Amino acid sequence: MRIETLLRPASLEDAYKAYANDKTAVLFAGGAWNKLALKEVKTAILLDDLGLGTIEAGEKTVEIGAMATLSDVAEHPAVQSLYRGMLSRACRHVMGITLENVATIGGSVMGGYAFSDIVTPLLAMDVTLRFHKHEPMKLADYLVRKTNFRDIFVAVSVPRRSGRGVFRKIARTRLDFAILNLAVTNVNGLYAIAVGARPGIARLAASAMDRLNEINPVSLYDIEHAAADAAAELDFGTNSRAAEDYRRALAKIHVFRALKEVTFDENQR
Amino acid sequence: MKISVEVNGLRRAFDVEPGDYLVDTLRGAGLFSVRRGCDSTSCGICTVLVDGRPVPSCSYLSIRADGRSILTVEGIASEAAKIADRFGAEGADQCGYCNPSVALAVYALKRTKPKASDDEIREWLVGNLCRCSGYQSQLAAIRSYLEERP
Repeated sequence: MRIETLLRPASLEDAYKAYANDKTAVLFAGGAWNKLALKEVKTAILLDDLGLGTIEAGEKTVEIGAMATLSDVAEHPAVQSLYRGMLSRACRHVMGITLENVATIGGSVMGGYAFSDIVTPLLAMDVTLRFHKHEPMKLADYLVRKTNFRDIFVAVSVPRRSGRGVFRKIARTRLDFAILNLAVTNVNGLYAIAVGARPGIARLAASAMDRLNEINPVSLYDIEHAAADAAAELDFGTNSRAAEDYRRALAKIHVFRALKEVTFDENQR
Repeated sequence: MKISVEVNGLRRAFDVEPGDYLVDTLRGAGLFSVRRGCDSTSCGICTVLVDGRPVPSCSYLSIRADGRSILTVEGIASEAAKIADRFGAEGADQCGYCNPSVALAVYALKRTKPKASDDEIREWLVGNLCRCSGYQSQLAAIRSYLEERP
């Protein structure tokens, strides 16, 4: 990669000014896929020195700094305690320890990678994104609006809810991008269903969730219908890894299994 | 740009371009155990340890290593010899191209999870590809190395 100018700001404000004032500037927040995505960069801004790599467990939320690596996230006890360790497991299913030591939460979210195995569980966990200047924004809103403001993503705020969670990555091998991934959570009977790598970036199956959340208690029959609803309402596509119909069929059965697990599996209680 | 890096226990200064990757900087310094593989973060051949953690040097900007500590297999010669012995004993060694990267990953594993289970060993090494010897014999060799007293 050819980088004309490299900036290594010492403060968040300096980084923000450099980024906001130069439309050609690119933020470097890790290193996992920069090389594949970029060949020539006029101005690169390294975020290494901004202290954004911390993970702090508060009373109501766990704040994961944008520069926390996937390994940092996977190993942190507070993250492991969320949704039965769903996010930790997702971070450990990316592509092996070397990549997980350089890929960051910030890069995973802001990179907007459709194949991301991280955005999907974050979406199901109802996280909020925190920026240096802009108001906090729910990840679900951010993904739908495709917001493209020039701000520094600072942290992701994960609500500390006592819930169950399941993450699944369906891929040919551990080193392949997912054919499909999904995350399902259940917080006291309120469900969230996120499906990613369809091959588009993760989306919530909002209608299926709404219908399921009106039922209490849910039965196996309700879950089966919710899985079919989710597969029907989400858009799927075809690429070199899988066809649209195959992805839809996978979503139906895997969402069903995940819902079953977060509802009935004794190990999840 | 000037960077100062501790490489295998010795503080060294490098003059790097902003877009240089660690694999090139280290090989330029004569550390040829650091090998180029897929060059796209996928195969693990270029693994080095930065502050004790395995990272893909093909995708790690050299500038990010400023002030950090790097280990290549040249810096763990005695441990690498023990690992090589185990690999030889289990028939886990063939062309040898991936050996330095696997040795570093295994070295880091022993320091991070000395009592790693077979599943944890597989998990740790999933990103280190070997295309000739087979993983079952590697697993046996690594288990044997982990069980060895320091």
